[in-house]
Amino acid sequence: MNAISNHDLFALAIQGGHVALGLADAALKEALSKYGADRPVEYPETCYELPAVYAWDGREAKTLGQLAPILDSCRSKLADEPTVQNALAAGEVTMLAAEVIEALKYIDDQRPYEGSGYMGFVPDKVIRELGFAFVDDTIPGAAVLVGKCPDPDALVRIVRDLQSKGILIIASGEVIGQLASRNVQMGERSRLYPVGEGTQIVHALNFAIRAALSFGGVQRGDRDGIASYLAKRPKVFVLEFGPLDAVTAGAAFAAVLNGACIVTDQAVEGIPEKVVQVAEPDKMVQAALELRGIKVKLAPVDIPVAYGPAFEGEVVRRPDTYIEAGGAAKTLAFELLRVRPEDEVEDGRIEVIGPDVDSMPEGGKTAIAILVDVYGKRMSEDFEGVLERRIHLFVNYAEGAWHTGQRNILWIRLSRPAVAAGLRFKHFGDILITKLKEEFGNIVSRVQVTIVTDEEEARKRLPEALDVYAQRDARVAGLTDESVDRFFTCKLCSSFAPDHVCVVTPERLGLCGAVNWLDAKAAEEIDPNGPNQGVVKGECLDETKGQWRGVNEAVFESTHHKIERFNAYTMMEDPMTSCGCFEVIVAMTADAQAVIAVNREYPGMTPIGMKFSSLAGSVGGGRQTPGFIGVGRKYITSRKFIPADGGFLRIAWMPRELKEAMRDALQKRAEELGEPGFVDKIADETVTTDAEGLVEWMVKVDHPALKMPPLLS
Amino acid sequence: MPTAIEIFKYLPKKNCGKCNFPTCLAFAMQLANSKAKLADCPFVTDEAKAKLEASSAPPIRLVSIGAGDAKIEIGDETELYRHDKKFFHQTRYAIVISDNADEKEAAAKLKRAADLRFERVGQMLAMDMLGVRNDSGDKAKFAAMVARVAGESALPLVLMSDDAEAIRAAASAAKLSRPLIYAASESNWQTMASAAKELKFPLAVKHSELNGLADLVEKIRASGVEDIVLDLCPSGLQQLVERNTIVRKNAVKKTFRGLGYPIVTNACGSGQAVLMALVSTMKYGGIVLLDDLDPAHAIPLFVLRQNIYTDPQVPIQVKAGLYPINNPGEDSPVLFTTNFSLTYFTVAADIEKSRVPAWLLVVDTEGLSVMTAFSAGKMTAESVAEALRSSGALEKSRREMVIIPGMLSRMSGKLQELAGVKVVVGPRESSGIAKMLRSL
Amino acid sequence: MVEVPIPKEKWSGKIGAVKLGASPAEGGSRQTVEVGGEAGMPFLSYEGLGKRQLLAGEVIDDPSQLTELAARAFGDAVKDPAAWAKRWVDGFHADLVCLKLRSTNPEGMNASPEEAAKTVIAVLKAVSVPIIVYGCGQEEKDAKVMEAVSNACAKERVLLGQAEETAYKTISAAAMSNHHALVAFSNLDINLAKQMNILLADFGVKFDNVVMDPLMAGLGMGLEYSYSVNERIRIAALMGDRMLQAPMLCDITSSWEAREATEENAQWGEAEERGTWWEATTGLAALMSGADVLVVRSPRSMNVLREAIDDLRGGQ
Repeated sequence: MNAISNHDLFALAIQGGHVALGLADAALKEALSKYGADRPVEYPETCYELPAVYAWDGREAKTLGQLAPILDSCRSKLADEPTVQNALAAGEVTMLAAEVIEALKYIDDQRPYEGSGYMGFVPDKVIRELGFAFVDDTIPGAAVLVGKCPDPDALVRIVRDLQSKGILIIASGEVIGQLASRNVQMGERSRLYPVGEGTQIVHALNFAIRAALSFGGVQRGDRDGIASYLAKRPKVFVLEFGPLDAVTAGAAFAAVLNGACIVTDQAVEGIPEKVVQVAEPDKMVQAALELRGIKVKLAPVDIPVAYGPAFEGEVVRRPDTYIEAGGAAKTLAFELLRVRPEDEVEDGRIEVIGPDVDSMPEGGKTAIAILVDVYGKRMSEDFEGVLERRIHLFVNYAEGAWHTGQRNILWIRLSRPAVAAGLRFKHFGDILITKLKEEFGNIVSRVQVTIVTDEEEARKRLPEALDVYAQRDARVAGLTDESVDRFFTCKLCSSFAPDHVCVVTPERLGLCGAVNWLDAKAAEEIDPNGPNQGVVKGECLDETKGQWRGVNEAVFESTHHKIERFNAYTMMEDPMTSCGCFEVIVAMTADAQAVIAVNREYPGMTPIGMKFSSLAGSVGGGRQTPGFIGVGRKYITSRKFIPADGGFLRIAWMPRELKEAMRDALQKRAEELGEPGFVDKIADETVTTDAEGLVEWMVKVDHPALKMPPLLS
Repeated sequence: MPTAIEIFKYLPKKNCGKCNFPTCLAFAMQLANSKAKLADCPFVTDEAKAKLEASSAPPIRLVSIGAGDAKIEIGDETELYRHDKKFFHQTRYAIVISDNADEKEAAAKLKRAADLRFERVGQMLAMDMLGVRNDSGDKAKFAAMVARVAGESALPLVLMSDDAEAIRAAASAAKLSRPLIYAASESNWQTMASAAKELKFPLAVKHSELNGLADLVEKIRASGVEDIVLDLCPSGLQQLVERNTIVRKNAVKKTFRGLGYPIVTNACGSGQAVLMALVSTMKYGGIVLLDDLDPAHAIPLFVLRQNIYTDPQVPIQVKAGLYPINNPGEDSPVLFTTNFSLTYFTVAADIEKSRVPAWLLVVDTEGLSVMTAFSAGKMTAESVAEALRSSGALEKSRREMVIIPGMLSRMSGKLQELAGVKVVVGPRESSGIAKMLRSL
Repeated sequence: MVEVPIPKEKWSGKIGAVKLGASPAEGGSRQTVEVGGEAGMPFLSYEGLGKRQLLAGEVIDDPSQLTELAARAFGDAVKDPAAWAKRWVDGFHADLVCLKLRSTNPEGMNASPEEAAKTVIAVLKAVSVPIIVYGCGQEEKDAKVMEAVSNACAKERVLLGQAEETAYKTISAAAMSNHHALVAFSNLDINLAKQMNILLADFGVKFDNVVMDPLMAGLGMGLEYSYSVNERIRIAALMGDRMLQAPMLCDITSSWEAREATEENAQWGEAEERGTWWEATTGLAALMSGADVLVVRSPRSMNVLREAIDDLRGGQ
C-alpha cells in the first residue's frame, strides 16, 4: 500500500472541515428553529463557555444566536488548495464546528452521554483537581488515543505503559470499546477519560485548551497566547490507529494547531515533528515521548545495596573483594558506549552473557565487558566518550562496587558484603540505564546494557571497542580550530570570577583542564541554558592572533561588557582572562625572550621572580593580563599554543615534575616541530630559578627562542 | 592603570632586586596591582618616571593626616565599584569635641574615642580621629582644647575653625602632627590657605555647590596648597550619594580633574549622622565627622567598613580550628569545612539553625571554598586528618565519626583510613545539614 | 566659573516595573504598588530614580525560632499572623507584609496547604497592603502549599516566593495561573541569577511578573559579596542585559542571626539598639547596591530604613 501523501492528507483534512461545518450548520439550524436564538447554550460545569471558541475565536458564545456568526466566519476560513496552512485552518474549523455540534447536545439534556460509557465534556473540576501537576511537568504529558487498534492486546500494553509513566489518557472512538472489552478501568481515578467518538474528540482538545486558560493566564481570543502556551505544556500527543476519515484528519490538524503531535500507525508521508508514522503499536509511545521531548521521571536506582555519591570515595580492599576484573586480576576488562540506530536499542534491556557473580567463586576473578548502547534524537558519536567516562562515577556510586580506569584499562571489584546483599553485574545495567537517562535525558532517550563475563564472547567484542577508541582518538586529533565553525564559552566557575569566560576551541581546552571542546558541545546539548554556550566564530578579524568577530561579541556579552576583544593565539595582546582555576600559568620571562610554564603544585621560585601563588594572585580574577595566561596542561602541547608568539618552542622553563609528567606529549610535539632534542633544552628548578641563570642556560643549550624576535618590541 | 607589560617596558630590566622583587617583571606586576611604588626602583629614568607617573598618577590625590602608627591615608582611589578591583583607603571616622565642652564632656568623648576598639577576624576596628571645634570663637580656648586632646590621644586631629588665627594658635600651643584643617570657604580661603601652606597641614575646602567648590579649589591650589580634602556640604543623604558619586566618577573616569581629592563629610549636628556615616562608607567617603558614636552604632558601622573595604579578590578567612556550636559535648558529632569566611558563615548558621549541638572543624584552605580547595589540593584527606588530630576534635567528641561535605565524597575512603574514624558523607549543600544532623 | 560635569551614564537598559496587589476594580481588595523602574544606579536622581523602594514587614506563622529582641514591639501579636501583619501596617507603616509559612514544614508543625491558605486569607483580610508569601523551604511541600495559596487568593496578585533552579515549575504555574508575581531566587552569583530568569522565561513566565532575589548576606556574614553581586546585576541590567532587568528583593532578616548583632557585651552598647542597626545597615547596603524591596524583621530598623529611603530619594 502506498503511503498517504501530504497532498492527500491536507485535502482529507480540508474535506473534514467541510463535513464538520456542514453538520454543525444543519444542527444549529435545527436547534434555532426549535428553541430560538435566545436559548442559552452551555457545557455543564465550566466557566469557559465553549472553550475552543473562547480561546481561538474569542467571541461570546452563550446563546444559540451567538453561534451563527462564529460558524459563518468558519466558512470563510476554508480554502480548498491542499496546503499545510489550509489544512490547519480546516483543523480549526473542524474543532469549532465540533464544539458547536457537541454543545448543542447539552441544550435540553445535562447528561447526553449517560449510560453510553462515554464521558463527553469533561467538567472544569477534573482539570482543577489535576491542578498544577498538569502543567508543571509532574504529569509528564497527555495522550489522546483515537481510532481502532488492530491489535487490542497491544492497545492495553500501550495504556499500561502510559499509566506507568504517569501520563494522562483521553480515548476517543473504537479504542474505548476495545479497552472496555479487556476490562481496562476507565474514568477519573485511573486518569483515563473516554470522551466519545466522532466529533466528541473535541472534548480532548477543549480539555487541553482549558489547561492553558486556567493555568496559563491566557485570555479569551488570545490566539498567540494559547498557541505558545500549548506548545510548551501540557505536552499532548495523539496516537492514531487505523485508517483516517475526513473528520479525524481535520481533528488531527486541530490537534497540531493546539501544539500536539500525531503518531499514526498508518502509512503517511508525514510532517517532521508533527505527523509521524510508527507501524508497530508497541513503539508508538516511545516515539511520541521523543517527539514531544517528554522526560519521564525515573525511579531511583533500584539495587540491593545503597546507592549515591556518598559511596563514591569508598575503597574495596583485596581481602574484602568477592570478585575482581581487570587491573591486578589481569583479566580482560573493557567498557564501550555507542550510539546505535533507533531500532537497535530497546530501552531498558539488560543482558548478561556468561555467568553472573552468584555463580562465580568467592575471591575469584572474571573477564568483563560493559557494553552500553544508546539512542537519542540529539545524540551524536561525538558525545560517546563524554558519556562513557561517566560509567566510572555511576558504578562507583553503588555501595561495595569499585571501578577505576576507563576504556580497556579497567579495574573492577565487588565487595563480599555487597554480593552477599545481592549485588550482581546485571545491576550495572539498572544503574547505567537509570543514571544515563537521568543525567543525559536531553540527548539520550533509550539505553540498553550488555554485560559480558564470558571471556570468549568478550574477546569477540574487543576489536570493535579498540576500533572505536582509535576512531575517537583520530577524530579528536583531527579536530582543529579551522575545521569547526563554532567554539564554546565556558562559565562553569563564574561564581569565583563573574567576569571571566573561557573560550574553548578544539585545540584549546578550558584553563581548568576539565572541559574540552567535545565536553562543552555535549554540555550545551544537555543543558542549552547551562554554562557552555556555542559561539559562531564569524568573520576572522586577525588570522595570526586568532580573533573573530563572533567570539569578540560573545566575550563582550559574557564578561558583562568588560572585555571587547579576545585573541586566541597570543598571550601578549587581549589574551584570555583567567578565573583562578588554571592548572598552569604561562608567563613571559624577564628578558621577554621566552616563556615559562608553572603548575599549581610547584611551590618554589621561578626565573621570573614570582612563585605560582603570587602569579596566580595577579593573573586571576577575570582580567586580561597581557604577558600571562592561565591554561590547562594539555594546551601546552597543542598546535595552537601561543602560535602568534612563537608557539611551543618559546618554552624555556618548567618545573621538573610537570616536565616529567608531560614528557611523552612534549617529546611528540617537539619532534613534530623538527626539534627532537628540545625537551631537554627546557630548564627546570634543578637548573635555575633566577632570570640570569635562565638566560645563561638558554645560551648554553642554544634554545630556539633566542632566535625569535622578543615578545615585547 | 597600565598593564604589567606596559610598565615593564619602561623599567631598566636589570633584575637587580633593589625594589625587593627579584625581577623587573615581578616589580611591574606589583606596580600594576598598586602593591608597590615606582620610587622603589633606583634605576628608573626620569623620562620613564614621567611617562609612568602620568599614566598611573592617582586620579584622586593621596592625603595623609597625622603621624606614626595612628597616621591615616585617604584618597588614591581608582575604582567606582569595589568589584572592579578594590577600594584602597577606607573611610575614617572622627569624634568631634567642642572647645566649649566642659571637663566632663571632654573627658567622656576622649574616653569614648579610646574605648571604641574591637577585634574582628584578626583586624582591629577602632575610632580613627578626633576633631576639635572652635565653637567658642576664642582662639586661646581653642588652642587649649587642641593641646589637651593632642596630649591625651595619638589619634590624628581635625582642627575645626573658620579662623586661621585660631588654627595658628593651636599649632603653636602644641606640637601637632599634620592635623587636617577644617575648613577653607569662600570667605576665609586666603588666610586659611596661607596658614595651611605655612604649617604644611592638609586643608579641607568647603562650598555648598560643586561649581563653586571647584573654583575655590583651583584658587587654593594656585596659592600653593596641594593636600586638599573636599567638603561637598550635602544637605542630606541624596546629595551625599550624588555629589560623592559625581566627584569620584569625574576623577576616575578623568572627565574632570579639578576635584581629584578625597572627601570629608561633616555629620555633626545632623539627626542622621549614623546614616551619613554608613552611606559615606559605601559611597566614596574619606572622613566623616561625628559628634559622638554609640558603640551599638559603631560596631555595625565598623563592620560595614571592614566588609566594603575587603579586597574582592582575596577571600576573607576565618581562623582554622574547632568551633563549638549549640554547646556540644562528648557525644556531639564533628563536621568540617573550609576557612573561607562565606562557607564558614553559611555552614555555622545552618548548624545553629538545626539546634543540634555539634563541633565544626575549620580546616585551613587559604580561604578557598570546598570544591576549589579540593581541586587545588588544599583540602586533602591528609590535611583533614591532620586538622582532626591537631585540633583535638577527636578527644572532644567521642562519636568516633566525622561528617564530611557532600562534595568531598571522593575522599571518604582515604580519610576513614587516615583518621581511623567512621566517615559520614554529608549533604552537598549546606542547607541540608540541619535535616542530616537531626537524623543522626 | 568652572563647570563640574554631571557624569550621567548613557545606559541602554532599564529595570522593569512589577506591580503588586490588586485593586477592587481588578477583582482584588487592596492597594497596589509598583516596584522597580530605575533607569540608573541607585539614588542618582540625575540618572532616574524609578519607583520608591518598599519595606515589607516579616510575619512568621511559626515564630518559635524568632529572635525575641527583633520582634519585641509586637508582643503577643506574634502568635497570630493576622494581628502581627496588622500591627506592621497600622503601627509601623509597612509598605508590604511578607508572610513566611514556616508552620508548613513537614519536620515541624506540618500544617496542611489548606491551613496555610487560611492563614494567607486571614492576613489579606487584616491588611490592605500587597503581601509576599513564602513557604517553608521544603520543595515538595512548598509546591503543594503554593498551589493552595495561589488558588485561595486568586485575584490579589500576591508575590509568591520562591522559584529556585531546582524547583521552579510548580511555583511558576502557581503564579501564571492566577496572575501572581513570583520571586526568582539565586545563590549569590550574577550568572545564576540570570540563569534563573532564563529558566522562568523559558517556562513561559512573563518578565513583568518576576522579582529577583540574589540572596542578601547579612552584615559581617558575607555582606560584601552580596553588595558586589547586586551592583553587578544592576550594571549588567542597565547595560542592556534583558535577562537581569527585574526588580530586586533582599531579605535582610537573617542579619539578626549574626552572633555579633545581639550578643550581650558591656563594651558593645545596648543589644537591641545594636541589632536594630545591624539589620538597618544590612538593609542600607542592599538599597545602595540596588534593592527595590526589603524584607525586614524589626519595626525599629524599618523606621531607620524608611527615613533613609525618604532622604535618599530627596524627600520623594
